[in-house]
Amino acid sequence: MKITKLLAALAVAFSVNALASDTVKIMHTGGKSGTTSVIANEYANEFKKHFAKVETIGPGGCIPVLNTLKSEKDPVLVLWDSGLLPTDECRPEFVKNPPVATFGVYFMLCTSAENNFTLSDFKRGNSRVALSTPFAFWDRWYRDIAAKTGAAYTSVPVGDSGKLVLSLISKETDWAMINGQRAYAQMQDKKLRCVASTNPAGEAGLPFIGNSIAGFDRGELILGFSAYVANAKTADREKIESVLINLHKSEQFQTFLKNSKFIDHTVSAPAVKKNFNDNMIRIMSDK
Amino acid sequence: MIEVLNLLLASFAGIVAGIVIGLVPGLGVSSTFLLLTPVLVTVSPVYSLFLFVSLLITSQYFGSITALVYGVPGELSSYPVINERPHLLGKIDQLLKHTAQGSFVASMLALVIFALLMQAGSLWVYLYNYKIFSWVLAAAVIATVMFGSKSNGKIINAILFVSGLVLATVGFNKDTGQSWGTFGILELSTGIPLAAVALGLLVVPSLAATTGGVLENFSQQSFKVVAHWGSVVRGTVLGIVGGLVPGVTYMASTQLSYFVENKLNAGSPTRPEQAVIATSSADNAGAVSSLYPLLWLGIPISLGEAMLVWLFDKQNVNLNWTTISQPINGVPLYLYLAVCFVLTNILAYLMSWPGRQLSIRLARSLLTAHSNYIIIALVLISVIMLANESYNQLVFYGSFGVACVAGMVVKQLDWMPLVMGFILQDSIHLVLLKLGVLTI
Repeated sequence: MKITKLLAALAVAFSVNALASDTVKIMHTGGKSGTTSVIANEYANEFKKHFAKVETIGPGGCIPVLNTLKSEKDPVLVLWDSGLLPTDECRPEFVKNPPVATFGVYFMLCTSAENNFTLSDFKRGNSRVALSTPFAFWDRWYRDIAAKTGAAYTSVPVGDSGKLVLSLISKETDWAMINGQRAYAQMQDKKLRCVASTNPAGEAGLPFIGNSIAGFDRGELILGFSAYVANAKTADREKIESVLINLHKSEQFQTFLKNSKFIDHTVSAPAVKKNFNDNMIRIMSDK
Repeated sequence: MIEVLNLLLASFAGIVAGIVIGLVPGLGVSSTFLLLTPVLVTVSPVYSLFLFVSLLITSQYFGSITALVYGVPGELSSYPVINERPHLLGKIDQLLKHTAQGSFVASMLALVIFALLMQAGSLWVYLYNYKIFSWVLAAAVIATVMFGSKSNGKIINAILFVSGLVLATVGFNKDTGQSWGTFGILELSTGIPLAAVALGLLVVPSLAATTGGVLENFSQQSFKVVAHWGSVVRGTVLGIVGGLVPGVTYMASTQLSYFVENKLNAGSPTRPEQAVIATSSADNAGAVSSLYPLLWLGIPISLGEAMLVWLFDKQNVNLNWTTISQPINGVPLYLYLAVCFVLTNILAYLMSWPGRQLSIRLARSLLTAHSNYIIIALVLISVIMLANESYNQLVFYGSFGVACVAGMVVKQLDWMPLVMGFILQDSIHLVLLKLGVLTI
């Protein structure tokens, strides 16, 4: 009798959940402490004001995202990061879907604040460089630098980009390429010393790394994001797009972008081209 | 937004669950937490952490009550108590007091040791250094193979562990951008779900093997009060060491302590009660120390901890010292955790000794013929809910079905080393990449 009551109560609970239709899922391709995850959570905070149920999902890379999308019943806001570009299976999906919003952030070359290293020290080599995901991309990037400078680097894979700062502070590695969003905050906290930027105009008083290493043409590196709506009926799509566009226009989000050094290229396809122009795709795609 | 009141509620829920699983045979900490995950996935993972800690601690106090009073092992780690019970009839009431005291002291000492270690500057930062991380992980692997399951033997443990590593490698690896073992099947790109494997291999066979104990009359004769502080301290120290053995954690603590106490007190008339007090102390100390690697380095060493990490993963949060140091109302989360820890111990102590009559009555009412049916119903509900939460239901049900068949057909095998291989695969893969054993 007690079991019957328990099952009845659970059935009621499930049926209430099943009726909730005002749902959106935010699916991203990054690791749980990576930058993409930070953005996804920032989006989720806003979407919670407009949808009854908001869920953030990181299935672990772009192919798992494609798989999860196949069986997904709810509307999904998909957040791709530039790390997907090397993966041929994901490229068509990325190209065919018109993005609602795109933005990016440049990287900074940093070391622990306890080190007195300079950019010259980095160029001399004989140091350990931290690789975030995807490892192969970053390994190749440092090897390209080594080919220009004649220096030697030891690659140390550390996991997603959230582990880079810890890797430097714990002295596991000497150098890491950290996105401006994290690097700038850590510089302010005096935990990191950054010596160069991938922004061609320089950034935070740091020189452009492409100008600092003779002949290195992969210096203009940006961590780009692109969000599009999948699996949605027209009404759902319009609502999600509207929330996202308004969020990007809002003072609150602009402050978030500014504080975290993101560069906003919101809401139009040409902006994507700006973010992912042919040269950028060449740099990112590791070809 | 984390609310302090909700932290208290989560701890309270953990205490209630801990009492029930401590008293009811057939449910362990990990399997219960696994059954609760479909509900926990809907709330902040920080609440799950508090619930898990409270559940873990409370269950250790109450496992001894059913074991001592009714001769039924409420917790798997209570088997040494069952062994000694025939020698202890007539002394049960006093032993309840001493085991509760020993458990309380052991838990507090294990907490103090943890706090002292954490005071050593930013120790956790340096523990992250991969050389130290590698040594901790190597110790975990060796311990799993050597001591992961006494019944299997080392070779079988090693084979199961490697099998777990292989199964966990199936899927797309975002670190390397490569798929492995998917045979081009997109559905396998998210990998084989740990929850399905663990439920099928561990929980279902253990329920099938559970038999009801014989309820014996409770005797309340007293005997001379002997504190046995030496046994408590020995139990605590050995418990902390044993708690660090992956997979078996505090069960290793009790076995280790039981073995040492029997050797030291062989021939002594107080050997049975000293053994019971020491193992109860070791049990609690081991439960606390099993949390050390998780809270320091984010390395889960038990199924329950792995599910806790999974709950954090589901909400894009890392479970490590950085997360636990986040302030809530200006106070670091770990201080709330410490308060939860102390309050849980006090409450569990009060319930298991001064409030023992109530606990014993509760145990009697829970040890009914219906308890197994309720547990089986809970398992089925959890399977359905976890499948709904999974990235691919077909893969979840398929993995669960295969694991169930394997677990039921080869019942004599302890599958825990395989599950540990599954749990540790991510960390091992990263360390092997760092050491250059695997190429990027």
